[in-house]
Amino acid sequence: MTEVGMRRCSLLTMAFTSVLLFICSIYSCYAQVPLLMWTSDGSSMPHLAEAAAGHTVSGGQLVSYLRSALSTAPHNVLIFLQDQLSIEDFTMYGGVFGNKQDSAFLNIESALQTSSSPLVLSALDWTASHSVLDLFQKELSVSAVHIDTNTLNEMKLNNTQPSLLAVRLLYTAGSQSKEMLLKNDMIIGEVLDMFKSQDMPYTAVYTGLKPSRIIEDTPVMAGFSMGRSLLQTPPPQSEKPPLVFNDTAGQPCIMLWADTLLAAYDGNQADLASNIFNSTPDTTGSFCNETVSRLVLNYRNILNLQSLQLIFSMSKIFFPVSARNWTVMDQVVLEYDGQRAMFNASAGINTPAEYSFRCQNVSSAQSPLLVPRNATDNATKWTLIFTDFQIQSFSVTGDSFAFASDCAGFFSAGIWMGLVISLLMLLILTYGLHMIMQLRTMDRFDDPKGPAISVPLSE
Amino acid sequence: MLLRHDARRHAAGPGHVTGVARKRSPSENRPEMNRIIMNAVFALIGLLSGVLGDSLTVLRSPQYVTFRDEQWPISGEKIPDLVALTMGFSVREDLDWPGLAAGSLFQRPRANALIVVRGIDSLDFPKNVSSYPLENPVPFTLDSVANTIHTLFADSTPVVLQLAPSEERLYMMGMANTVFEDLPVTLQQIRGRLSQDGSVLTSLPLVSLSRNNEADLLFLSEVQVLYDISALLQKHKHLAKDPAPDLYSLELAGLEEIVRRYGTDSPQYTDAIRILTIALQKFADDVSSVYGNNAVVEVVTVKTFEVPLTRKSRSILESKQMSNPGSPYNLAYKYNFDYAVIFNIVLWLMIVLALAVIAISYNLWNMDPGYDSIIYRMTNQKIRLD
Repeated sequence: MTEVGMRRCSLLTMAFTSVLLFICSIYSCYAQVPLLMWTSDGSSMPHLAEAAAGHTVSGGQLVSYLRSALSTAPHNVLIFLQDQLSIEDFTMYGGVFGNKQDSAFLNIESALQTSSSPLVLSALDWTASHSVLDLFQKELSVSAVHIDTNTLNEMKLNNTQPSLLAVRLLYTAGSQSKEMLLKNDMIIGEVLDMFKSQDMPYTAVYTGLKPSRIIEDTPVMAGFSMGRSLLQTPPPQSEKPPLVFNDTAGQPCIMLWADTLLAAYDGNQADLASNIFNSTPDTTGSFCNETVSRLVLNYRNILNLQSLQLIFSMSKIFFPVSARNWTVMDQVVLEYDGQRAMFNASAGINTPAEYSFRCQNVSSAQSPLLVPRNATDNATKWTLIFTDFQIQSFSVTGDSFAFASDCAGFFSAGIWMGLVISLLMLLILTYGLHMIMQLRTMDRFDDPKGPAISVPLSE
Repeated sequence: MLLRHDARRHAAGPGHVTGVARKRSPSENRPEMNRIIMNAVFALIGLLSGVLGDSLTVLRSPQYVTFRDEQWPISGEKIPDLVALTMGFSVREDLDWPGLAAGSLFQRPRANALIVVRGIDSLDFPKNVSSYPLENPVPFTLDSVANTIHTLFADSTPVVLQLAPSEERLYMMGMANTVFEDLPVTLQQIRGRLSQDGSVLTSLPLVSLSRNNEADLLFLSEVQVLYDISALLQKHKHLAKDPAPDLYSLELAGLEEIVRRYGTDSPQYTDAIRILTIALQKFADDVSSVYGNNAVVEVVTVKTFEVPLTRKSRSILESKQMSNPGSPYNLAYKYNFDYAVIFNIVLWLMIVLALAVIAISYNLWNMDPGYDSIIYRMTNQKIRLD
């Protein structure tokens, strides 16, 4: 029985929490109510500058204004709290489009006109309007007296001390809204007339406890949808442009792109690609024709050298076995301060002539594609590492590379090692399986009840 | 030698200035140079147009709707909220724009007319109208305001007219269906309207606009629509007397076509601007007089609407072949040496597994139950001969 009770309490708490969250989710974002405040004839409130349209007044701003207003306004405060009120009620039933005879707010409108400086807030935060009564009780230091039309006539007001009268006005959304508003306006008129007949100065406030109309959420054409987007976003253009060398006719014939062109010499290291893609490099000495291409990159004052030239020599060779032209990079040459270092590159850097060559790592150190010409050449003092290297020297059209032929081949040394070892172990396994499969079981088994096993040798 | 050296140095100068790769021999005709100069000029024009900006102009407003005299910029997506606030409706989010005062709760304009003019950033109106710069010009519609009017004033007879002649987009509601049923709304109807009596072709000085060009006819068709709406409103003055607000939303794109066809320096553009300015002022005067000076008329001038994202769609046209379609300059996909290793591991592993499956299947299929299993253990495999 205790468990059943606890489960029921838990369900009740869960339901209450769900309802509370539902209410908060509905009203927390955009609930606004209007607030009207005026004084009787002969009294005044401090003039407030006209607010901008669409500006929602928060609770703090209302507190600061009421504090300054109650310093001069009468302290007999009337609060007309309607169940629901929105600015749309004034727009729909206030006769605002020239049909003033149909207005449901005649008494309120005439009171606002006779008042010297009324306060009209088009949009007050709904949470702030909910505590208007508490706000006035705090400011006036009196407790509110809830009255209705029956007890109104018998009430005798005292002029010497402040009073706070709260009038609850009913509201029903739908087709009877206008009748309810008319009746509420009559009630307001009766209360104000009573104060006027007794010649009592008053301060009146008319607001709603919550908005009567929920603002519809219509999707805007270019609105901010929180769902997934099927639209294309512009890709970021962050790649540097490749180096293009043009021939004598102005057509591009050599293209080069690299992430880094590291060169190490005599303990120093420099990236030769850091300034040849973003600006115009010095390619003096470069040329190209149908069968031979030569790209020369000239540098000044780099690696403690006065001058340095990085030269790529490429040629187009017809191979009869494949019956097609191939681009072969014959040499990569470094000329520096009168000396020369030559690397052979034809063993690894080759591609069909219609393709561009691309390699992740063109290096003379590890897995070298650049081999010194001989053991005593100056190239042994240099270390070259080109990363993400892509070059094309024939069949260049436009400012884009042709299809890339990557240097990552199908087999490498490690792959061959793995294959050989696996085949060897597979051979051993096959031999073992073959041996096991050659075993045979006996044709006859011993039967203790039958005659003894006879093994005829002739059979 | 000296001559070649001088030629080389002469070629380096312009190349360094414009950022183009240096050529060996400079030639007189340089299409790259012209293209770069044109790109720079277009960039400058874009910068200037960004500085000038689009604008929101209030041609007419009653004295109880106060638009303040400052140059506060308003965002394009906030214009429906602005229209809703002038007509006394709530908005979801705060309009952080101090240009419009709160106004009176008991007096509202009877009509609100919004005209969107595309193709120009600002028009020359008289100096007594309020004008505000427009930032973030995204496309917007007054559908939310129309839905609010339809919800609140369903019993009354509001007039809601939303018209974009260039796109043949039309939305009418309430009394607008009976008043504007004779209004030509498709391009062909408007084209036919131009050849009838009372057309703007006969009453307006066309000067350099021609009645034989498509762009000119589109622009004049939209001007004709403005005049027709004014005439129909004056013919049905009783609409302004009903206790329901009216909403008009027009979008004119003919000027954009004229800019696209003739350019901003052409006499057609100048004459079109003058004709449109006169037509808009006449429209504002007519609407204001029909509603007894209780109407708000706004003009939003936008050079081009910013559509931030476009849908990616496949094209059936021939495109240049690229090995790495997402990369600029057709840079290669960045393979590395591990790709070959991974590929070979997967390849040979798959081969081994396939062979194992084949061997197991073959041996299972060709089993000899007598020799290869332990079933039938106690049974004689051969017929006893002894």
